[in-house]
Amino acid sequence: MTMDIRAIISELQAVVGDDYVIYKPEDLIVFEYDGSVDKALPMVVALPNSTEEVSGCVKVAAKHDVPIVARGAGTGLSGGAVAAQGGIVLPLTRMTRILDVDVVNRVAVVEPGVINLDLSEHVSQYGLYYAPDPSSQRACTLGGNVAENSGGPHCLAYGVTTNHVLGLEVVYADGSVEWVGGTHRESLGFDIRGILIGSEGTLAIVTKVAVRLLRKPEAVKTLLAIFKELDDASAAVSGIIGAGIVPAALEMMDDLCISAAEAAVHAGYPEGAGAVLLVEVDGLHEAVEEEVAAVEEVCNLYDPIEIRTATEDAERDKLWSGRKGVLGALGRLAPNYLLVDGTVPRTRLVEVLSRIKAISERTGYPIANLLHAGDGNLHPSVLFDERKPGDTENALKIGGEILELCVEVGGVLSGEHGIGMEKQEYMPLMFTDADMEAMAALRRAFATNSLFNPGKIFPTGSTSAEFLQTAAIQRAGPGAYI
Amino acid sequence: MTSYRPVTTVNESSSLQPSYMIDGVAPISVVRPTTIDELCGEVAAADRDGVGVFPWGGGTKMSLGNIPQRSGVVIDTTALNRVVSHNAGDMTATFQAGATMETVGEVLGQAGQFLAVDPPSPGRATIGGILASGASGPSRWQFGHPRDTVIGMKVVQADGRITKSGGQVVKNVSGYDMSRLHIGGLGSLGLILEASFKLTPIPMYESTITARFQTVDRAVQCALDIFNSHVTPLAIATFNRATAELVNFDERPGTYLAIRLGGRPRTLDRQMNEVRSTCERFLAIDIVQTDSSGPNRIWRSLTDIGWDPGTDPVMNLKVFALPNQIEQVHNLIEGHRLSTSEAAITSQPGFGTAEVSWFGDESTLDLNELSEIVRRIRSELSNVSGTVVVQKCPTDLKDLVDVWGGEPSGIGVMRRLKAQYDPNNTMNPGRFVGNI
Repeated sequence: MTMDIRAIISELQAVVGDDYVIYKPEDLIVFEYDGSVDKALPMVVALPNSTEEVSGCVKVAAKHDVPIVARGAGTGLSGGAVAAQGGIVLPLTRMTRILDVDVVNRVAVVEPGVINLDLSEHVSQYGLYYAPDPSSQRACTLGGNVAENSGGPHCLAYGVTTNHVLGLEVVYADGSVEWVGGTHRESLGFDIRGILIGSEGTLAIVTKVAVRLLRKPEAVKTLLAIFKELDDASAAVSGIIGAGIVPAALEMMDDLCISAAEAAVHAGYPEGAGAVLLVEVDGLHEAVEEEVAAVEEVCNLYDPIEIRTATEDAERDKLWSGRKGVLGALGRLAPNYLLVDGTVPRTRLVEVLSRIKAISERTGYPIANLLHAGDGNLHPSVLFDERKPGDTENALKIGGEILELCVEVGGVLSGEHGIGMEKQEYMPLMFTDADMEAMAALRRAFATNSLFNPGKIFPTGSTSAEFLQTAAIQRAGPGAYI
Repeated sequence: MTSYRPVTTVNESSSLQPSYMIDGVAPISVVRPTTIDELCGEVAAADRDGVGVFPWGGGTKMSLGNIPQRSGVVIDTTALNRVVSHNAGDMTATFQAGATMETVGEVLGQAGQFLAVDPPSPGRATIGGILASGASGPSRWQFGHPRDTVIGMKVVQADGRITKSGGQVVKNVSGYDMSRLHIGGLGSLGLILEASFKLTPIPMYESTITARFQTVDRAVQCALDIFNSHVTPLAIATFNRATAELVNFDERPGTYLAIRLGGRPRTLDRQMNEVRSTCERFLAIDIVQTDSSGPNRIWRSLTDIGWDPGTDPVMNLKVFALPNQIEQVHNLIEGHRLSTSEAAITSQPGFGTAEVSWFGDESTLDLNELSEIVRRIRSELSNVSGTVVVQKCPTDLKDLVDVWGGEPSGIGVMRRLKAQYDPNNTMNPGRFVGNI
């Protein structure tokens, strides 16, 4: 241990207390990875319990010029919480206070370590909830949601994190603390709040979050439509959108996902099902009834094998069970899978899915497709076996080919998992040098001097090669899904 | 500076053309580029020559901001008005900056869709101007701020370089969300060239209920009750008698509440019934229901008031507060009668915002009276952490009051952003918050 590391440890201990600084190699391993394929061992982990302590830790990092990486629950899927260049990892998981719930104005102020679902459960007593619901919502934190601009299956109708966060208290690279935005719906000046959301912890560290809360819907109805062909399900998605309906959620699975889910959770999908569409509508009783009827009408145009609907929670959970259990079930089909995240225009779904099928046939690797179809956000999973020589590299190449395909049809590199370490090398597919330079200027404006989460978003020329994605699913807790 | 030569100079003698004056500052030249390359060339040339660049769309919001620190070239974007794409099936569309809201509405309306922003003067207001000014109107309450509709953007920076961010898809976390710098940024960091949006389906049926209440508190409490119910109005606005008279709705005393509702038949019926009975519970004096031809009229008028050329106010303020402070805002502003006219107030209780206009004869104006009103409203609202922005006023008043009401938290980062993207202070010099 060098003098510098000793000094950093003791200075961090002075800020957060001896019990909350972790530096023994065997203890640090827990903080080596997040939900992605990437790994890197931090030098030291400090667990602050207040804004002042976060600021103190940032000052220690700045003084010694070592990177500092803020971290929530580590459920991210792009390496955002991995200390790519070592240094200090700063989990904010002790900062779990719900500081204020303003029921009349429907605003809550929370610390970044509050778990997403905990906030909704806490405000449920007032008939309110926090809308963005990432699949890992039982485990992921609101601070992490802000860093990644997280979505969720219901973001089709309700939007993603940036549409629900009103203000942030942040710590800058010099340790200074400031609110950007606030509890008001609008604030003056450049939208610093909006810039920070989704910046993957590279510009500032969030220590408080002001969010708007929504009124819980009066009624929810779920419809499950089973089709023989994937194309029919895709066409039904276009039909639903075309009919002027924006469901709360609109999810799709292909035959590989269906057989995996059926084997694992016995969702009761019939033999020969080629695609499953899951549609959820919420709002007033009357709106739900009228819109589900309209959705059913559209689905019936595409020769469904079966349509099921449910309004009671238990029945709805049953309809969702296959969808929610599918990622865990993919392990039955292959030892490993590479989960790709990209978005394409909804109207190109049929074409993109058939081209993914062609890639699968050409390369011989099965690809299971799971989609937030309403958003055009697809998650093809390339199935492979890391024990076979060359399999990992091939899966990675196929993943890259799928991303290129997404960009080619007017889509983007990531719909909801972020760039992080996983996709930074693909950024030039979407962005010119001038675009990247404008993003780099943003980092300069925050004067971070590479202090915050370096080695993310921007291409480095390196490629990660390990695939441990199943770990993400286990860590997100039982019932987790993407 | 003298080397600067405009490509196209608009004929200023024509009565149809605006004067392109900004707070009494005349432009060195006015250009109306017909291609993006030409526009970028203009920006780069101005930056090189050390003159300012003043983006100009429909000119409806040119009263915003501080007096320019120096003159420069006005870049009229209205020739770049193309609908770049409209993918109805994807519910997305991309427009050039100079496309007017009216054009956008017509194109999207053919597919039963609309863009959920609602600026005044849609016939003149352009996409670029709407986004740069961050203008949100009262009638699209449910859909939030314009920034929530933007999915991608192309801008030209002061050095003439084009950069883009986002994309044409509704869900995207690929790289920094750069469009945020420009929405509500008043063109201080770059000029918006194109923007892509997510769209909203037009409700199958629509109707508006307008109720009149004896007191402010009944109207506002009724609005908040609806805001916190299961009813999902497309818009809620409260307004005072002066506003009601100006929009030719009514002239009787009281506080008015308008609720715009939409949906499929049974959904709409249920909401109409519920809103009506809520209004009755809060002792509305009378309740008027307007059919499908009616709503647009009242909502159009409420949005245009203070901005439409026909209703040019002496002064217009925007107040940012919280939903439960709107009652106080109404009461407080009602008390500030300008010698020539009473204040016309329109508020969005669900948002906690209000707009106030005073009308009258500009020749008899007393600037001290105006500045005193602004000063007192600001001081009285400081206990509810409200912000008051002067959006329109006589230029001379800008020497007496800070139209932005001071420097917001985050101003240090904002200045550094300006230094990064516009180091020569070319873009709208001095007009934004903190003289950025």
